[in-house]
Amino acid sequence: MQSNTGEKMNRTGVGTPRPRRRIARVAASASFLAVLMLGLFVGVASAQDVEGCLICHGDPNFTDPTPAEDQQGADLSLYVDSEQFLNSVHNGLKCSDCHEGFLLTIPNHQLDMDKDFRQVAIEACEGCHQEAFQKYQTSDHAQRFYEDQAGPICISCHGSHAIRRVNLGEESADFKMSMARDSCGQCHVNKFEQASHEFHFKALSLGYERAATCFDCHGFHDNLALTSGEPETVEACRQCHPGANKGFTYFQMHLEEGFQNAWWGVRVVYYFFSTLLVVVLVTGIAYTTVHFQKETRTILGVFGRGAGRLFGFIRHLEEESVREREGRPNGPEDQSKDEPEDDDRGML
Amino acid sequence: MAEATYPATGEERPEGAAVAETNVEGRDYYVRFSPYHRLSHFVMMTTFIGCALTGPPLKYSYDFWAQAMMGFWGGVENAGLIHRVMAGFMVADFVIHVLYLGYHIGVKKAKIFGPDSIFFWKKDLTDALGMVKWFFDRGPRPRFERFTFWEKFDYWAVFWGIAMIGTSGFALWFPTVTSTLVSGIFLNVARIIHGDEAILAIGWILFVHLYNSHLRMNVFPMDPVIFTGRMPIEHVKHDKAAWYDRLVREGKIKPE
Repeated sequence: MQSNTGEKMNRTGVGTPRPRRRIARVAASASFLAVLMLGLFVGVASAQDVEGCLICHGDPNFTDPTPAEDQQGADLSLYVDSEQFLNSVHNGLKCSDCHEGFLLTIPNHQLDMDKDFRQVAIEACEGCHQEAFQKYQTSDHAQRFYEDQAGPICISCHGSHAIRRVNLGEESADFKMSMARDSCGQCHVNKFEQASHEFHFKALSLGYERAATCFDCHGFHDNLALTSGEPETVEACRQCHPGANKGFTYFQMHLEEGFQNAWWGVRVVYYFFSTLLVVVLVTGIAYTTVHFQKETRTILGVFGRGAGRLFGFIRHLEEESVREREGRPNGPEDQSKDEPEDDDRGML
Repeated sequence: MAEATYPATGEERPEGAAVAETNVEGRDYYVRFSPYHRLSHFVMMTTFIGCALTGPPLKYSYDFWAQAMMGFWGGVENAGLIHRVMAGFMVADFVIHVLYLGYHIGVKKAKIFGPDSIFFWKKDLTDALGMVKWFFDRGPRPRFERFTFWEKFDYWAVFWGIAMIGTSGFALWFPTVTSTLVSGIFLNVARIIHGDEAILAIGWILFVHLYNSHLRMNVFPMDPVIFTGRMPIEHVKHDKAAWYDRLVREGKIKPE
């Protein structure tokens, strides 16, 4: 993998004449033997590890043995999850197919240390994925990367060792949703959050694979920021909605939950219907509750005075339980005096 | 042509009483809802339940129950199909009812404001106030006419609901047609209206309509009148006293 080491790495360079070359040779043979021995004990996971990289890189605790002097914080982990790699689309490739230009020494290091590892990574992918690479060059992502290294590169979205197998045009809903969440959503946090309130992401999360995810509209590799009313936005919508016109693109996919970033008309509708919802339901439920307490009191034959009228039946139940505890018979004789004229008594 | 007798007793009854009364298991009933009324309510009820069970899982798709509910319907596509078919029948039921209403008002010259009408009139206001007074023991239970104010409210709520949910639903169903008529931002607006009004409708049915129609002590645990059309005379007398008096006065039922 990439390394951030500085000066120190030169001591492992090949071809440097050294005074005690024999000792070095013996050491090299010994380590070769050690590698061979270790290889016998490494299991199924490394069956494809023809280069023996996983002997060291398969250890979860394996960190950069020669960290850069300016490196801050924890040691850089150089661990590669072999199981993830075996399940990835790149299963079958050798490590050096991507990690080109690494010295086959222990430890391995990148030859040209002046090159940024991200540039190395892009070039590694380019080797096979030329079309994607060419498209990437035209994207906003690439522009930002070449400007100030801030934009994402291949591995920022795709990951490195766990790249999944997918048939274009036949992506599962789960794949589409996880790409949106785990790749696009890692940087475009708000955009993802906003889009998840809209139909497409909701349907996707319920397993409807035809619903659009980020890259269905914005494209992948040559990603575009889409603006309402622009011809490319109409084209993006037309992929699924053949009759889409310019007006169609004024549908907003990325509105905040409270519609603060929306046209005022949307907010007015939102406030009106939210208020209506609360007012009508609260009124209805309050009416029902008051009706219910009247009926409960009627059934229990309890009538109080003042505020106690509303909750008289609670008092009644308490009194009843006290009577029960004390073993006295029921007898709410005095309460019948307060009973008003009431048709419903006959219905009980 | 019809036998002018009370089926329960065999006594004579006046002209115009027709099928107003029937006898089942020794009880006298008044036929309150015609077969059309019953069918119309049945279609409205079943299509409403169909929509209410297929819609919310999409609105609340990230909640744990939504996944299970969508699984029950066999996925978003199936649930969407059921939702649309149900909505189609519901709107058809509604349109037929508007024609029915128009026929009765326009052709049969039915009175719009009166005791037999579903339209609100001033008695509904006094009834509502009287009901609140009764809740707090400040007066007797109002003597209701044929339709109580909460029955009328539930009835007219359907008009509002169909106008709001139906219109926004069709707008979302055919988004490209909508965008040829108005700006695409109205699809966002339609989504807000459709969801909010649906929750309002479901909440109202669950917490208010079901209580007032089925769980009140007068009718608990269920009032089958909307399905059978028949209401026991004693129930009419206690629940809708003014209507009972009028039916007796008009000779449509025999006083108990």
